[in-house]
Amino acid sequence: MTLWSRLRSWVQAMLRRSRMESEMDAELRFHIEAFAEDLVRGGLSRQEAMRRARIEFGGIERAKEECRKERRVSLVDSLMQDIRFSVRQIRRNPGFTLAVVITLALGMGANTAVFSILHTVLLRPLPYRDPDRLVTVWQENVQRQQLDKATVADFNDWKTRNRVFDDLAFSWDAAYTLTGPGDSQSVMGYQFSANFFSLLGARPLLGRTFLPEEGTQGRDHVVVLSYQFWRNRFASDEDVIGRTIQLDGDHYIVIGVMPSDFGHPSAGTDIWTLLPFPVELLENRGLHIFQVIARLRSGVSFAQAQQELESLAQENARRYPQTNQHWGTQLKPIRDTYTGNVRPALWVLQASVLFMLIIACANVGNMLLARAGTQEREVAIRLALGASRGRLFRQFLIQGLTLAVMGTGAGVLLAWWGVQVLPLMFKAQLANLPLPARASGWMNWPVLLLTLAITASTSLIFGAIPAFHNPSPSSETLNIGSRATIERKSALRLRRVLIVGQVALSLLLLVGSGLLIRTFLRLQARSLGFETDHLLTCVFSLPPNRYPNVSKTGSFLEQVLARIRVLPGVESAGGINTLPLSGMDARRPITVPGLLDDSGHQNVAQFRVVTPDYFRAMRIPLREGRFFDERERVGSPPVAIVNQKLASLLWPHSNPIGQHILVPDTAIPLLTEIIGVVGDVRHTGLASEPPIEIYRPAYQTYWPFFGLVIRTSLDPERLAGAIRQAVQSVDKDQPINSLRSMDALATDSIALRRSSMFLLMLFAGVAVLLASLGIYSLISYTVILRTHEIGVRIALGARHRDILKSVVGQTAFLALIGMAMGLIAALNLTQFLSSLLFGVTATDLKTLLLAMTVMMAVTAGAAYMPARRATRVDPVIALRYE
Amino acid sequence: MDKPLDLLPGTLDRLIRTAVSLEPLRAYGMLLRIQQISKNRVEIQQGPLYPAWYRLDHRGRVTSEWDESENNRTAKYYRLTAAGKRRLQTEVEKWNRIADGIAGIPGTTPEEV
Repeated sequence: MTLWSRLRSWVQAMLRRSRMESEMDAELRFHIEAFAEDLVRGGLSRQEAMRRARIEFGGIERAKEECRKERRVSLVDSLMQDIRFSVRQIRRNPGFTLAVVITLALGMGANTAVFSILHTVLLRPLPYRDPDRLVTVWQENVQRQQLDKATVADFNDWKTRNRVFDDLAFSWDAAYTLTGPGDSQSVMGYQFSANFFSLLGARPLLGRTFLPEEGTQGRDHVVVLSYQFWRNRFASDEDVIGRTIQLDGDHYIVIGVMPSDFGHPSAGTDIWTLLPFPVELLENRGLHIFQVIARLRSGVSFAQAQQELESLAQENARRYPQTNQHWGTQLKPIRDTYTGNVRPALWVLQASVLFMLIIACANVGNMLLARAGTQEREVAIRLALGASRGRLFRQFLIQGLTLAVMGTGAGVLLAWWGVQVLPLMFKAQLANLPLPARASGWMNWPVLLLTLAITASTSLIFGAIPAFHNPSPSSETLNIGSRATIERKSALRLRRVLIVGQVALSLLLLVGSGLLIRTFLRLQARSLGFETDHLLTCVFSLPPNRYPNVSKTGSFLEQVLARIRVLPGVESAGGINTLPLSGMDARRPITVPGLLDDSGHQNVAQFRVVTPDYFRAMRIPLREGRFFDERERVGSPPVAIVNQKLASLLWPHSNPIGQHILVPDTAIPLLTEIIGVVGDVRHTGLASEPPIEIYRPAYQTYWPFFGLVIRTSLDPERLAGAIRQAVQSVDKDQPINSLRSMDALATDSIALRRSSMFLLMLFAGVAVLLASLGIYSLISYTVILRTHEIGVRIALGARHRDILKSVVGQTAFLALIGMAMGLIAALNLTQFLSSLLFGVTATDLKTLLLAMTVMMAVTAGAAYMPARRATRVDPVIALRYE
Repeated sequence: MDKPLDLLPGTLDRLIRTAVSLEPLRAYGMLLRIQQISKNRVEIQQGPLYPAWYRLDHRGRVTSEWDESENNRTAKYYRLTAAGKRRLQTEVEKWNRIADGIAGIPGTTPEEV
């Protein structure tokens, strides 16, 4: 109750300030008058009585002030005063305020944005049951140190003979054409064994997932829809369960819809269908076609499972030396499987923004310490006038808080913006993750709060420093001139430490971004093996029910290409089964009759099926022999073109033209004559090495999906509509996908490195700018401190050079220490960049020297500007400070 | 008349409560009343009186209202609240116990110990 009445009186006091004031006035006036009346009654004159009454009462204003204090009004009053004061200070120093606010915002915003992405991609549990127990299983070519999918026979061995997994499932990508109900549309499918959903532990939003018995041929025409696809194509209709849709002309029954957070293996997957076990491949150990996922049995460690599978692989290598000799087995945690190439980039970026945050905090500390120096005199005067230390402390705290509020406000905005923009920079990478598409645009609130706390406490702590260690109001403090400040040793020492740290971290970031820039330049200097400009691409799949054989697919391609070639602006056009840079991939084991590979095992070559004009459209050079032409038809003798790498591997000393190799178009090897050798192509991107490749003619070899390449004289994107029409004029039910320019594909293929480089450059730039600001302000400060001394020196005949040296000397020394530390850090830390680097080592000398030169130049520039001011000190004015 | 006694800390509040427990008073009247109760042995500084009122008001020990004074002017009258009365009661008891104890000390003779 008393608490209540106190609160009430406080609120009243706050709300009815003027009434309380007037009542107080009235009451005190009444008191004095009543007292005076008593005195008049005692025989004094009225005037004298009033005078005596006032004297007896004492200070009226003081009594009022004490009354206000009892009502706790003064607390709020002084708080308002402090806030008004700090707002005034902000108005008076807009430059200072802006610098602090921007610094805080950058540090905070960048951290929150990067961490939000990192958390979504790398840390947040995947939407599966016990995702830590899920692994993907790969066969590893030990010689090439390359992971590959599993063959059907090896998968079967794992499945039947392991004791470390609860279950194993297999899958592969599948593209479908949805032909009904409604318009036809290409859909991204993922086809897998019936136990896949239950192995992941994923539950449907509607309906059910696959039953074990549906995994057999004939009962497998059921489909599960993704949330996105269900929403877009079926308008979230819950009655979709049980309906029939047509995929590639076959009827499928919709049995379930997955929740919005399920997107396996990537966000773009539209539907999931069953892949009955391909019994005909049960003995096949040459075709690596299965993506395998497994759940570790409880109590079995990752290492144990790895060991068991490795011993299985060794056993198989002995039993089937022809196919399994150089093959081991590798397990990968499921998250690593999908985030493999993004992970190092994200951690590097996170580390850089963390360094930037440290630099930003150091800089804010530096600026606030510098201001503290200029405020010491004010503090001393106020102490001398009777201000309590608590009151001063509170005032400085509120000043710091005001800055922190503004800084964090701007930081939240920046973070919000960053969270929207960053996923776009890594779009190609994020699209391949088993995450829902929108998940990457989410702000991570706990981290926002954490960085908010860090930046806020920085400005609070450093803002409050002048109130902490303050001189007693000594005559010395009060005597100094109005523009001078006091040298405070501990504050200066702190600022020097901050400078060293800033320089060190900035150099580290500079080295990192330098390495990425050099990587990027190296990559740009490389050639893909074909010309990407003025090249339009698209892909489509040819449903086997309508295009069951090579004559059908061949005639479709021929007609489509004929119509495209006559379009205005088209120079040439060709088709290929696996478009370079598109992520598509097909391989076939090849053997040369009578020529035993020295390792004694098969070579696995990239298997390309192309139309005759493909090479001309891509501008892949012919090295020997000829391209395919009209002679290659169904039924004509099988021929092939190999790339230079394969030619020199198989026939290092003889002419490859006219040689024969065995290559399976499907399952049965076919004796094929080599008619030409073409240039190598970096199929998966600039950073990759060209694979060995064998090309077969599209009019001789069946393939169910194709990509088109169209060389144009115009902007390729402008032809997209015409291309679509040309395809649909041949088959109106044939949708085409991914109409994109080859330049765009090439850009995507280096997007991770380019985005990382761009961001790291940005962060390094900000860091260097902040560090140079710190140096600038430290030297400005020392120059102000020493104006008098410099004046005396100049008066006594010191040269400009000496002045410069004495002012800059120490800071230059600090910068050197910082650079030495930064260099040591760089030598130890840049190794984490190595997976992003290409053509440069993490300790590249040139980059190190360049980064140090830049840092030195910036430091020198930042130091020189205020130092020059020192040399211009007019001794007459300087000495007047005395 | 004896020399006025200096007040012990905290005594002012108690004096005010005692004075105002008898009847609602305005501040000035209470000053006189305290002097009357203490038989002029306690002199109260007029200035600090008001902050003390505000303090007691803030703590809910007294309430105040405006009323006509004897000479037809409005004045602020203070009254003890229930909480104030309880508080006074316990304080009086406590004070009496202490006063009893202290009062006995100076006259104590060796035989009594």
